[in-house]
Amino acid sequence: MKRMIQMLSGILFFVVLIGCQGLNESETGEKEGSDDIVNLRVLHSFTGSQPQAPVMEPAFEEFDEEHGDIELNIQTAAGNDILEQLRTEMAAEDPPDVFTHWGMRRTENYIKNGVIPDISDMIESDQDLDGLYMDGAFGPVTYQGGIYGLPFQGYSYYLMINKDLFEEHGVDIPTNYEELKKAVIQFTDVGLIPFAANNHSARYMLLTWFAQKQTTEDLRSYATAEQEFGEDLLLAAEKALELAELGAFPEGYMNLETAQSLEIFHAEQAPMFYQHSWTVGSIDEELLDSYEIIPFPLGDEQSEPTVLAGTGHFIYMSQRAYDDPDKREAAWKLMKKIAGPDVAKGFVEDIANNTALNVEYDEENVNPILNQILDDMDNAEKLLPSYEEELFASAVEGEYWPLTDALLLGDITPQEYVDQMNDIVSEHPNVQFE
Amino acid sequence: MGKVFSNFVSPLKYLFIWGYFSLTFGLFIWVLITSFKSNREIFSNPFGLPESFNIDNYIFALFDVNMVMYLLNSLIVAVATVLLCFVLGSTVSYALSRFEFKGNTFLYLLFIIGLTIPLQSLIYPMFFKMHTLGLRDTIFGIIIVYTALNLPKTVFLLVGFMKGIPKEMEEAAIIDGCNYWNVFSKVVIPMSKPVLATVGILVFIAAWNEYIFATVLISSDVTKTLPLGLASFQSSHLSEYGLIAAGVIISIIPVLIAYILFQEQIIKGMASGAVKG
Amino acid sequence: MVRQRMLTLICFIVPTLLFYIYFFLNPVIDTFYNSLFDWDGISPKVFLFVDNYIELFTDPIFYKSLLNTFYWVFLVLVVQIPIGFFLAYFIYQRVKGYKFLRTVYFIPVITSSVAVSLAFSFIYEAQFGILNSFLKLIGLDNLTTAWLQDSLTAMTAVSLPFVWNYIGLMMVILYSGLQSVPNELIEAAEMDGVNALQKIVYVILPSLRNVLVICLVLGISYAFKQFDYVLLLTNGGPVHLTEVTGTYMYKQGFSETRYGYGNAIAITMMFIVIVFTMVINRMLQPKDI
Repeated sequence: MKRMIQMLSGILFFVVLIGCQGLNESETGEKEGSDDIVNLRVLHSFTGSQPQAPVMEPAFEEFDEEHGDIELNIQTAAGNDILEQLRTEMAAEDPPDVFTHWGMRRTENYIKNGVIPDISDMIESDQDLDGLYMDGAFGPVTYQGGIYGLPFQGYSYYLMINKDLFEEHGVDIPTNYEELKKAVIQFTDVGLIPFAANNHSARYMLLTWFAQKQTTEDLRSYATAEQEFGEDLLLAAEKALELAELGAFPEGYMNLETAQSLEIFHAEQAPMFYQHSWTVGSIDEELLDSYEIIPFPLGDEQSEPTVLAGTGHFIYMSQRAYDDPDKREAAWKLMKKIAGPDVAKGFVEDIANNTALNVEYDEENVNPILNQILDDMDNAEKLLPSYEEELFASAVEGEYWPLTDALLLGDITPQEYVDQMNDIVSEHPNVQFE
Repeated sequence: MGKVFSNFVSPLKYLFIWGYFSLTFGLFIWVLITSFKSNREIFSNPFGLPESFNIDNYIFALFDVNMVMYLLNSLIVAVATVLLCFVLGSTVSYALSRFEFKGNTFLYLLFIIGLTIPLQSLIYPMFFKMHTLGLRDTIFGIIIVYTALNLPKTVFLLVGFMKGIPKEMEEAAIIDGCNYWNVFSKVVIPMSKPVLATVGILVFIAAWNEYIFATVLISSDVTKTLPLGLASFQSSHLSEYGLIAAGVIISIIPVLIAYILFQEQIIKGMASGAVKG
Repeated sequence: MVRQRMLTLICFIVPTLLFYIYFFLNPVIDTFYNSLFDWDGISPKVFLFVDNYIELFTDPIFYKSLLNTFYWVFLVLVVQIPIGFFLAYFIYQRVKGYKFLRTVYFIPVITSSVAVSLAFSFIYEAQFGILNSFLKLIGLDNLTTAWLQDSLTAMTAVSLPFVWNYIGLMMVILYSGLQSVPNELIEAAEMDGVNALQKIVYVILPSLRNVLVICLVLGISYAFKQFDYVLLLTNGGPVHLTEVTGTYMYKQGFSETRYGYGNAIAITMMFIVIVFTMVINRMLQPKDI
């Protein structure tokens, strides 16, 4: 028995040793950093089957190899998992040095609490960045006069259809809401799901119908609670609800992840797909010939062809990295790499994503769907920012998603939706322009 | 009358036990079959067999996603938690069960109160504590947390059992010139083997399957345990259903093998542990 | 000898006790302490005293989640334990293949909640899930639904993996309880010519009283703490339809970064479970022990 106990304690000791080793590594790592190698801890979300992974992951690795004096310690949390991961690390006062994230809508609290630094001076004094970014690309990271991140991914909402299914069932391609409704009914009659959608798609539709009647200034004045939502939002909400009630969306769409909803489209069970452009990279290339981008149907006579587009993803450094001159320099280099022309070119050519940069690329190499999306953007009468990507205050996001879900499920009426939206926005107005 | 009733009950009985069996067994088989399919096959024919038994999903899950590493991490965590629980639990249980001293009952109750607390409600303080100690996101940290969480159960079971060991054995040993340490290691521990097995199994399964604390405490890939690894595998491959099914199967197989090898002890252990717990 | 006894006691108790106090009791107290503050993890803490609790007791979503948790407890009572009991009883009667059956019934217990949740997400999948496909196969197309979204089915659908996961455990506990029922008692009853049902109601169940209490306490505490299924299957949605106290606590803290409020939910949960446990112990005071 004694031997057994000895053995057990031996194993225990060993295990403890392994655990401690993990600790020591990180400690010694930091020590080395003070000599000549700078260690950067990076957190990003582009891993696994995320369409951006084939460009983002090699970009980080390449940077690591190119810079002998900088060592990257890369952590990933796929897709939306990064939200909680970053929150946890921020709460533990242990933020990564460099991280990717959405705009102000999800970093407002960090900016307010001073854990993300204002980098506008760095941007201004760095000539490499002159004219690199599209107009307005910094919008979502501009907060009360400061700029807090570098943009690397653009977004636009696009409507993709499966032409073959439209032809097969003799359905006309809709250009306005009434025609869309007709198409939806025709498709449900033959047992197809009209939209390969989840609750996000439905919300995007609502936002688009609303935006078709607005200007950027209008959108801002609602978000800052200068103006109250009224008739326009009501009409948009009624349309989204009506589609939901007509069975335009798949069963269980509330629980579908976006990537899963795309699979329904791939499986030819649905002829239409309205989504955020990050999904373009996931579209099955074998079926590209049947797919086509069409302008989003107009809500009514007063509506104008509109595409919701802008910049959605940014790379940030933490205040802690900023405070350390060596780390600041290294982090800045990394940020410029990720938000730089090479990655941007890769985004457009390799993974069919919108970029936030003015880059040259070879149209031949671009995914035809993305080309059509870019054409659609050119043809649209206006390009407006999407509320949920750019303009709503952080606190609104958390409440407005479930509220829209409640509308779509029929728990509240469109009028109640408008009223509650006004309550939410007036409680948390957007203050980034102050 | 009794006979008639029994004749009527009998088919129902078999329907029930085999019905429940096929539900449970069928589910596993279905996930297994799905794991060989492509998305297109899954959508077009949910019940059918795959066109070919393609093991690409398994190869990808095992080697590209480090499922093996998650498995190893879980193994280290579970084994170390069990051992720590043994060491910490058996000593204090020996003292509590074999000695009479002031505060004995109070101490015992202190441990027992832990049984009634829904452990998941301790995530916040545990998170900040591990952070302050620099143990967040380390294997060692997660072992400490799991040990703390399983300690009340361990002490409760061990004290209950040790109280039943006849005092005479111990007294004889002391007369033979053994000190307390010897009594503990040569008499009490060997006699407690059955309950140690129970505790070991309960703690192992709890640590092996724990998910909530792991999500909060672990962030880097190299420290992920199997449940967490499986969950993040799912969120990075949301729409690749066959692949996820393969991940599920891979995560089940090691425990399944261990279970089939030790099923008698496991079932007995779970039963007696739970009955006393 | 007395000194040695003292020394031994100290050596045997102190390390574990310190460990336990530091890593278990201290967090319990921390939870309570932090529940009195408003804190988002980044900004400075603000002392609120009982405001979190006042908010909690007027929070409709909390009541909804509590109701849903009680629904789990209800399912434990009317589904989990009864099924567990009948499985145990039939195995106890040594039906053909009982050893094999027992092995299979127990597999879910050793399977991790994550794997079980993922498997169930496949079952409920609206497009290719086994449930809808099966209903279509047997011509009951109109019964197909979005199981995790439909307000009628969502809560039940999200509870089933939990119920199923622990049926095997209940079975094993009850099975071991059955083995300690004195054979003479059953034989005597059979001599009196009772039928199968009477035998269960009048002979078996009363002698399982203590074991049933254990199943009950265990089931309730699991119902409060095993919210991984909800977290993974629906995350409490759509619109809090499937929210349970556990997910609400978790999300308030780690998604909404309201740690104080999350802790207040945690303390309330603890309180409810402790009261439950005490009441059950009182009501079904084990006899003859």
